Amino acid sequence: MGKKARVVHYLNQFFAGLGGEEAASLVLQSRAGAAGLGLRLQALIQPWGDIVATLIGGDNYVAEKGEDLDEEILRLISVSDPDLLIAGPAFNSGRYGYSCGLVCSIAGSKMKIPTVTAMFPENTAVELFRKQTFIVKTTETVRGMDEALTKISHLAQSLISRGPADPETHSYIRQGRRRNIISPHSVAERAVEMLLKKVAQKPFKTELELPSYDRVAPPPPLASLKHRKLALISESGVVPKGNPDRILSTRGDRHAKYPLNGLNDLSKDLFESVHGGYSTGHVNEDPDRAVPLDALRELEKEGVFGKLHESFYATVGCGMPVENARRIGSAIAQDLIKEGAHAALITST
Amino acid sequence: MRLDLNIFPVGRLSWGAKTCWQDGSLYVGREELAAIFAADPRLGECGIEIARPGENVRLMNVVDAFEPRVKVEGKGGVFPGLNGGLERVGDGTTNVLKGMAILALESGEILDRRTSILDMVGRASQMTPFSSLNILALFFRQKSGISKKEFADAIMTSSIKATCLVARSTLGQPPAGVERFELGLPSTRGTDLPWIAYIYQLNSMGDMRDTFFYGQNTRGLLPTIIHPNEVMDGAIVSQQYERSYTSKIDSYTHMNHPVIHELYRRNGKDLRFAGVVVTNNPQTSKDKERCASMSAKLARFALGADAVVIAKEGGGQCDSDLMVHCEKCEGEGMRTVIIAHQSVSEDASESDFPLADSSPLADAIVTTGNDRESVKVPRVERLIGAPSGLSEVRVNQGEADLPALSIFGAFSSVGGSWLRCIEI
Repeated sequence: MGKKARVVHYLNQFFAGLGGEEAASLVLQSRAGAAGLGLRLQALIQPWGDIVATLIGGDNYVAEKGEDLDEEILRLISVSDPDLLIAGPAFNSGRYGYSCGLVCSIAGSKMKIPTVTAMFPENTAVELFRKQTFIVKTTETVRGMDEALTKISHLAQSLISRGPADPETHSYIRQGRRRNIISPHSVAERAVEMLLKKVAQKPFKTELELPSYDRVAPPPPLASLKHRKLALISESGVVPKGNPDRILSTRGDRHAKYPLNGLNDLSKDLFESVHGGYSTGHVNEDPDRAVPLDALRELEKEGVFGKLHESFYATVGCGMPVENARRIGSAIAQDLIKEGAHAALITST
Repeated sequence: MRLDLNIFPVGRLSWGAKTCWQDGSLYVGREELAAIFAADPRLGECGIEIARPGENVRLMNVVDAFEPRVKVEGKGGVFPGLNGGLERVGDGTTNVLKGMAILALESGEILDRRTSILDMVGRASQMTPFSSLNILALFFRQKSGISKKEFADAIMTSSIKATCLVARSTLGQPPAGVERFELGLPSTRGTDLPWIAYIYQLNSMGDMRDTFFYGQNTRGLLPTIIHPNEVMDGAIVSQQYERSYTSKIDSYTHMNHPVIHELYRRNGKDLRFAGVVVTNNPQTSKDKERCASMSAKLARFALGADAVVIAKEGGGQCDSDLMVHCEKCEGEGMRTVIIAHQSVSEDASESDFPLADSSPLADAIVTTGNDRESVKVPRVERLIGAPSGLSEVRVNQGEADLPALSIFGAFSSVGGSWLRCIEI
């Protein structure tokens, strides 16, 4: 029987018993022990925890000031030296949900303590905070108060004792984190089992739900490339020998810009491919095969286009996270606009 | 076709004067194996080691795994096309040494930027089935001046020779047990049980990223039908040495194919095993679509399948092959299930997509796990093989944090994994 967990409870003005909407601008304040709704929560956590302080904030005050209150919230919580923070439940209240999420994310990230709050899954605050804290699912209104408090205390107890926490058992909103678990059945067994259910038109649950991918509409084509500046971009991983900018061979996270210095082709003595997704032998024999500088110089001489950009842009995709691709694409585009390019040729593998 | 596998269990693996199997123990003659490597002019100084389950050891740069098998009755010989003989295989009787694997380790020349290790202890060992087997490790070094491809060919040839030598130790001895695999023609399509076919995708795409079918590189292979027993005799062999484990199928797994075994296990009980279509995943969208159309046609009209299991060999671009096969098969009236692994950050801090392609028809997916889970591996007492060279993931004898795809045997893309990725 170790010592009991020290819990700080965050409530808004209403659930703290300090008034209704007229008190929504209440500044942040702290009380010793449990207050208002917290007394019911205290009864549930009694066996393993004590609410040592209650932090109270007016819904408008906190929602309007937002992250400006970071330091103040941190100060008011840490003075109680808590092991855990519980906020709400907020049900479907947008401002209250935001405040609960904010307080939890500050306590969680700055103090490294577990935090639990509770909201209706459609509360607008869910998407903002579901990754930073555990949001137990509630009903839309306070009708589900008993159930919400019970679930909060169960999950909180599991977290404080470093027990397992999963969305099914503890009824919280998925955070989007992934974990590998050992299954009693092999993947092949599960595949055949799932298929037989599907064939028999029995209900089954896929282990992976795929998102739909957005389509990027390309801009209209140029009527002519004559007199235009063309830039060369490649995903093929061709970089100066020695890979000075440490371009990763898989799951690319950066790009680099290399001056062509009037070169007419890319020689294998000066360039190599570091791409991890294909057999790079042929490209290493002649890097022009992936980054066609030689062909482009000929076309430039023939006047098919005006001028080749002075540098080429290099990266590796190979499972590049979409966020990185957006960031890199945007950075290259800004650069090209600044340097007067009109079009770009991208080679990829 | 009917194939009997004579099972010779290997409970103990140790050195002996000559290679022989006796009462569940396999003794390996070092000199006999060393002679194989010495005879190959492409190889430099090679090594042979033993690693047993639970031993505090790490094997480095693992490129393939084999199970020793030798044919005693029936057409052809094990590893047709690569060990002499081009007769078709899959019937008769084949001896199997069960409970062990022969692993090919390379010097680091081929894997260069990748990591592929096998730990026999610790968290990493729990994620792969190979840590439960007695391992005979063949460590290969190339002669200087030899190209990577020549080195890869030497590894494949010598590994197969060594595997066959070890398997021959079972000749003339009675097995501990026999497993029978029999599948006739899909004659009358009974309506009692659903007919399930497996679409066996391979991915030959370049030197050291190749798979062999009866000794022929499968680049350009158009979909065709094989009898599931053929792979039990080594008809499909890997030379996917440059790839991390999640992007390939190793030779041991081809021989002990999890989907094939599961379909056989339930054959006649709640399904009928219609058969297997094998195809290579090509590089262009047009070729991918052509192959998928043909695979679906064969499954539906040659095998009479009501439903198919689809699994790939390959990396992200082969997720497109999974999706186009799914669409073509569903388009022919067959239900589909896909085996796929995820490759996403653990804390979902990036807006990763779990697969590189998507289809609204892909509503039944079984996941082998998330191969980017960060795994802490401990310091080990013994290292077999060369330390990793240019790899972006540095691990040697000491403690390290690795992405799980560095572990040989974890996340088998054809269903041998016992892992599952959940979202929490």
